[in-house]
Amino acid sequence: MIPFEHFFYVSAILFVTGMAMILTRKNIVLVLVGVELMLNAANLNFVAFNRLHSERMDGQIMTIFVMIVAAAEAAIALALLWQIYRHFQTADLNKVNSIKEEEA
Amino acid sequence: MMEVLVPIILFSPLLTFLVLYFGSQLFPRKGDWLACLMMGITFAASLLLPIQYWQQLPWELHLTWFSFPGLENTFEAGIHLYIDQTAALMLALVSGISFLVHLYSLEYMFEKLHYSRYFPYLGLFTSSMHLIVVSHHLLLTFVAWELVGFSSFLLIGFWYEKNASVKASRKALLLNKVGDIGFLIALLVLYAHFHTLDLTVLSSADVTTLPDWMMQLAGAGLLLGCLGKSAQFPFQLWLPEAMEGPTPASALIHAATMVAAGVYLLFRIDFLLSDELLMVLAAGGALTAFAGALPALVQQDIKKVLAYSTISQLGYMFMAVGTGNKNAALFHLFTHAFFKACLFLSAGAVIHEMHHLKRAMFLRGYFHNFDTLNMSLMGGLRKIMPLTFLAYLLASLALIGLPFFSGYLSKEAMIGGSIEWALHQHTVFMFVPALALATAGLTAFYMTRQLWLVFGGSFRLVRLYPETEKSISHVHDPSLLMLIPMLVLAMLSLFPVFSWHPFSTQHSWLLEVLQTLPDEHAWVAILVTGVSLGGVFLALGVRNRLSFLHAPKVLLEHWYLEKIWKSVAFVPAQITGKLFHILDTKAIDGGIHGASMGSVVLAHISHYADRWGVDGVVTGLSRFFTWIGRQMKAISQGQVQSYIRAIITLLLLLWAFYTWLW
Repeated sequence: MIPFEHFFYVSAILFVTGMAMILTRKNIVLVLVGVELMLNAANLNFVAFNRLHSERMDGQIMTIFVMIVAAAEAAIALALLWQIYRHFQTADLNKVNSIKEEEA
Repeated sequence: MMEVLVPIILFSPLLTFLVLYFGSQLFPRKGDWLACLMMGITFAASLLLPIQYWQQLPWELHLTWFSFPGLENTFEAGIHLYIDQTAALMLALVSGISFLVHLYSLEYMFEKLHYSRYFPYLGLFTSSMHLIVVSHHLLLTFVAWELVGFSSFLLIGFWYEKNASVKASRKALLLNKVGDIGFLIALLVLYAHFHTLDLTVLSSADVTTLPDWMMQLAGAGLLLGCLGKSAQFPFQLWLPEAMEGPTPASALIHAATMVAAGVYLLFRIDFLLSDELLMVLAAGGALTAFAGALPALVQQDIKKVLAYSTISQLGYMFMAVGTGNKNAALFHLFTHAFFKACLFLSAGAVIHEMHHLKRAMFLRGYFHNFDTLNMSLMGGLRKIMPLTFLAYLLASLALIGLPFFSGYLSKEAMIGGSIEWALHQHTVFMFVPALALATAGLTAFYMTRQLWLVFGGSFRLVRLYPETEKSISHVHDPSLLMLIPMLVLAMLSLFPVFSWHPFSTQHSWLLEVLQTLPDEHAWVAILVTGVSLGGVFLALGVRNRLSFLHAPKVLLEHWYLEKIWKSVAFVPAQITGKLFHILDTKAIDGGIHGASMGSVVLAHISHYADRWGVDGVVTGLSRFFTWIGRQMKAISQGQVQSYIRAIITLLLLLWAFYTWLW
């Protein structure tokens, strides 16, 4: 059987990768991809913990809740993204900035 | 009254020195008349002293200059003057000859360079010499000793533009200094044992309490000082070279007085000399007498003959002290002073006239740069300078030591004493009187040679340069200012001054004063006179071949003394100097350079430590805060991802805080 720690390593890797994508990507869409990735990493964590205490179902139920919320949130996020694109005429996060208008 | 006379005698010449050295320009004729006046007063005072106060001598003055408590007892630097009958006579001698030289110099030096410095130096010398004579404290004698050496230095190098003068004066000073080191060592030894340098205490102290080596050292040291000052072997090198100085100065210091200071000191301290040292003294004196006379035979220069003669005669005096006959030595000092000074002054007159001749010929258009001192160019001067000839003749006969002259009395006393002494010693010591006798013959020879070369025959310069004939009238006896001192001194070389009997010293009043009457042996007198006359006739016999132009090198090079001294003393001194120089530059300076370089390195290190370390902390701190600030700035830049980053960072920090620090 796969040792339990491996699940947590993988989920950690996924989480960190997702965080890295959020923090570093230029494209807004890919930032959202990163968010999704982080959520899925959390899901994986829940499922793994469920495996640990296999007499309960909390983990798997939680995962389904997270997925639902993720989907809803993704819809709203994309709507926001569309508005941003309409306003700024760009999908580049560096350029989505009305505070600092001076050039570098 | 003595309290007035003595300062006059001691200090008037010094006063002259001070006034004229600094202010000679204020006086007409550079103040030479003032110097003569002061010297005349000094001489009068010094004559008055023995004449009036003969019975009241000795006279003493004891002043303490300063004293401080020493280790075992008080150190006292005292001025102790002691004038006994001998000292009074010496004072008269020195001031008398000095006065005559002053008068002579009025004429001789007047047209020459640096006239303003001449009389001050004479005054300084005379004062210092007087101080040597009256001093009864060895430290004071040492001070005066150095002063006369210094005056001699100043006067030899008087015309310092001449390279030869400068070299000669330096040589004289250095050789004297070597002797003075001996003097100083002796002073140290004496003080270490007796804790005083006062001669009254020393002469009454029991010298046998002195450990043997100290006794020898002290005596040897004093002897060394006298040898240096009086140009005896091996220090005689400087005296012939000292003839570069002005002739009247040579007459005063290098014939009559300064070189006699050595004899005078020996006369005073002879109780400190051990028997072995006295033997050395006698042998050395006789040797010097002989070694000084030999080069005199072959000199071409008038003054050099007289210089070598002085070395020789001083050798006689030293020999006399060594043979226990110090009173005869002092007697000879007196007679020698008169006739030697006369010889020098007369030689100066001849030189003076030769200068006149040269100048007259130049004015006529003939310029021959002949050496005015060269005897081979002279001759026949007895006809045109008869009085000079007379003075020279009388003084020469006194020097040779023929009867009816003063020199006979003193020389016979010395040689007789030496024979007496040698008879009581081991036979080998007969060489001392033998050398003395031989020297008497040599003296007779070279003086006769000089008389003939200068005054006899015909004037060789005229034969060489026929045009000189017209200017001969410029050569004549010098004026009274020069002539009178010469003649006075010549008169003083005759016997009546010293003894009423021309042949015998038994009746010499001077020797009565000096409290010694040596035993009279007629055969000694006959022997000495015979040898002297033999020398005279030998010289006259070969008078046509007397030039000796090709002389043995060893005599012309003065026994190679210069080379010997150079390799023995000066070269080692130079090497030592160079070694110390290397030590100084490499070791000491090297150490200092190293230390300074080290401190520079240290400074650099501390600079870097300061920049990178200390400043680094500050800068690092400020950079850190700047970085934080920039991060803080990032939050409000409007970049979304910065906001996210900030939130994540804060969450992580909170988690860390709660996990580990709570």
